[in-house]
Amino acid sequence: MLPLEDGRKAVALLLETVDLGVRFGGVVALHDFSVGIDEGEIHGFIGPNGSGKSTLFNLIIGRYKPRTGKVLFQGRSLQRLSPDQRARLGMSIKFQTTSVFPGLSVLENLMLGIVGAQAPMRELRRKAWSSAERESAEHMLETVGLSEKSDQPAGTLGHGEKGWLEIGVALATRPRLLLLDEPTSGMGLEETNRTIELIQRIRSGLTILVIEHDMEFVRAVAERITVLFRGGLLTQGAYDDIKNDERVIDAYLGRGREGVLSQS
Amino acid sequence: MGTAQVILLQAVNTGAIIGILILVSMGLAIIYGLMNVINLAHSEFIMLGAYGCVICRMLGWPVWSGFLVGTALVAVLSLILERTLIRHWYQKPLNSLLGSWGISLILMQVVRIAFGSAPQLVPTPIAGAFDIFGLPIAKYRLFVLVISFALTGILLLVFRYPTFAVKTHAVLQDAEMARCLGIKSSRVYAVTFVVGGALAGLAGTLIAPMVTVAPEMGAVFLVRAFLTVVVGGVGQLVGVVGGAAVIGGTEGVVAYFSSGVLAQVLVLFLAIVIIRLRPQGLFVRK
Amino acid sequence: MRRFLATPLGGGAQALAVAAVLALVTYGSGGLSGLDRATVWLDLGLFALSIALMWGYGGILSFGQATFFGLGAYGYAWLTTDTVGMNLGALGSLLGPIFGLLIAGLLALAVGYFLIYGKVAGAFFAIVTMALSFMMASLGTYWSGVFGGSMGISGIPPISIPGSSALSTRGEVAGYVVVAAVLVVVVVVVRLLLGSSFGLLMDGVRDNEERFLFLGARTAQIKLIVFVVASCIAGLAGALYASDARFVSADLMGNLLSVEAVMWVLVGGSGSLIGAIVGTLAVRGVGFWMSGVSLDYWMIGLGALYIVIVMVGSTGLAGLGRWVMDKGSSAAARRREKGGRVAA
Repeated sequence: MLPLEDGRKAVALLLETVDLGVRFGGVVALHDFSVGIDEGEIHGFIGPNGSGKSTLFNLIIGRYKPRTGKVLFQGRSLQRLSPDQRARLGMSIKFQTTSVFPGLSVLENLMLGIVGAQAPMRELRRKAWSSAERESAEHMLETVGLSEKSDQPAGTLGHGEKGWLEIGVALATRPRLLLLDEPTSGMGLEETNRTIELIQRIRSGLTILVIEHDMEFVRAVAERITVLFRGGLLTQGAYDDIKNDERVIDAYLGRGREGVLSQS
Repeated sequence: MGTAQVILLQAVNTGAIIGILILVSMGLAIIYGLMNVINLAHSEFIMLGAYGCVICRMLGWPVWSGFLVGTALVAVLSLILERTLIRHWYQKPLNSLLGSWGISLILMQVVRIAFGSAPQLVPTPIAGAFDIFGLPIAKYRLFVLVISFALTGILLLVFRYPTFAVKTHAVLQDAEMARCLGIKSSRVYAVTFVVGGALAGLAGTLIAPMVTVAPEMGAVFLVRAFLTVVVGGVGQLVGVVGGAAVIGGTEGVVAYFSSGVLAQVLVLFLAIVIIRLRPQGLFVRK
Repeated sequence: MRRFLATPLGGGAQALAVAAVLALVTYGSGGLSGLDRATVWLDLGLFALSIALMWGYGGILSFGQATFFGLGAYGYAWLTTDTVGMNLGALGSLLGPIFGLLIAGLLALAVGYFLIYGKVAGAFFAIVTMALSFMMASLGTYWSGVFGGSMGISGIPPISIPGSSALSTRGEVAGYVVVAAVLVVVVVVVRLLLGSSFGLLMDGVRDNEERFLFLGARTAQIKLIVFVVASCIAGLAGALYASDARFVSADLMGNLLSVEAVMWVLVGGSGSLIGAIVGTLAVRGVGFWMSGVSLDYWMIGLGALYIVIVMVGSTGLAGLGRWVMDKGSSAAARRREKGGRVAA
């Protein structure tokens, strides 16, 4: 926590984008995007299809390079950092399309989260699965509720289970910032609720950034929400504030449903 | 010879090499771009095109028939291979690597058994040289240069619009659509493979009078073609042209000053450095 | 029993068993010259093992590993003959394998750095390494002074202790024992490597490289290390080959051997070190038998074998062995081979 500067901000900005923008071919996917994520908060990003949520996500994690602006993590620009360097700084990710290590067991998946960022040359000299590491992995196993499936190949898990495993693996890296790209995509109601519980269970000491379509999920989980529309920032606020916002309703053409972009 | 004349001579020679390289690489690129198949037997397609000319010579047929016979032979073979083996390896590049290597070995060995390992002689369709600025420019080389660039131009026009990444996507999506509508996407793949193969065969017939015709002759062209595609970038045919210019051009220039083999080695290392610096290829937009 | 076999020492035991069986079979059917031939096969088996390490465990497919094998062979030749004026005699024969390992490793480091950090992967990596192999073989054929040209280098002496002509691998049995010993040691060491935390990192890169990258793993570095280690083993195998075959030529660096070695690994099962050795022996053994019948048609048969293997899939002989031992999934079996890390 940074010391108080002017008495107003007690919490530091963990992540910040400043005038972020990018275009693909002739299409402006994101423009003039400036937003700040406070440390410790759970921040949601919503918006209709094509609003730029995924683009924003990919810019933050380093998959795309911005045309304009920059991304700051703890005040440092991420400009020249490769994706793995960003991860080692403390940013951990769960992708929208489930991406586990399919040929490895659930426990091994989690283990990779724990040791993955270590220096390879050093790891040559260590035996795998020290008891401390094993404990951490098993603890994570419990946290995500997959204890019974410890030895199962991750590729054979159900869709929802893969999602939780991924969150667990991302958590195993002990990040400061957790980025979740549509964590409940493809999940039914029951699984969504479990995911909500999971997030609430793990949130202490963590800052979480969530991109989502599911409004119920966002309402239950996010403290602050940023709404995107056509590549730009539409509005920000708590759920109750924005749900009644005319512009947001227009953008979606109906609460909680995928909307057609309004023609105006 | 004055410097300008040397340059002109080298330009024609290198130009012919680049032209052939483009034809060979195009074939490789469109097969990979569309079907994600890497065809290691491509070198044998070249070789068989050349041997088509050999057969024509042995049968006493007119020299020009070599082009037709060689290309047709390879086109038919491509079709047979595609229908029986290649089609199992669509979208499976590693399988196609090993499988096509097996095909390559078999083809090479069959030719070796049938014709022997000794190099064959193929007569030049156009003998003699033009006298340009007091310099003898082999008519045939000029012919090869013109033909190959003309063909390249036609191919670029035909495949003008989409890049291969987009096209593959489109055809893949269309293939599903197409199947619903009862259209055979497998036909598109077959045609593409045959066209690619035929290009290699044609290239083989073109170079037959200029190089040593032996069962292993194709390998060096294949390697050059790989480097061309990797350096130029997959996704746009223009990349292939650019890559061929870089690879073929560098080799031609270096070979003039030292030896052919050294030139090849140098080009390989150049390619490796280029890949490191620009992984997506020189001529592909990121 | 199964648990023991999965340990590093267990792997060494398996290698020893294979070597013993091979010795019996080849000596029984061909006497000392049969044993001599088998020695060379074991060298090639070590080569295949290095490819299995890189590909089956590291997920990196190279069609050019013969470059390093051949270079290692030449390294040994340079230190033990007058070709380049570095003849160190018997001392050279002892240093040869190490020298071969080192120069192979250095080239692998250089080439690997450019390719791996240049994000060349998958099929493209295979074809660029294939081009490398082709070029090196061409260079070797051309550069007679160093590589012996198309005639190669012959009259290469076997490994021997300096000052003692009694202790050398000139005898067929001694030669075989030395290679078998190296093989066993390498298997043990490699299994130790796979059982280390680095082995876990290799799993991550092999199974889902992109995901692993976003978890903070230095995937390029991991791949480079694997590539260099495997190429070093290939170089070592090449040096031993030179001492056993007493002859090297540029073909040892070329495409034919590079791709054939991949095929041996496939026959044996790409996820298995011992399988790679067995696969080599199987193909070489059949090849030897067939070359007595007809070399030309063996070549065609070899080509057909590639196609068959690709069609059939790549669990290979090792998969068969595992299926016989236990009917678990091959993923589970492979994990067990790496030292029983997973509980139960």
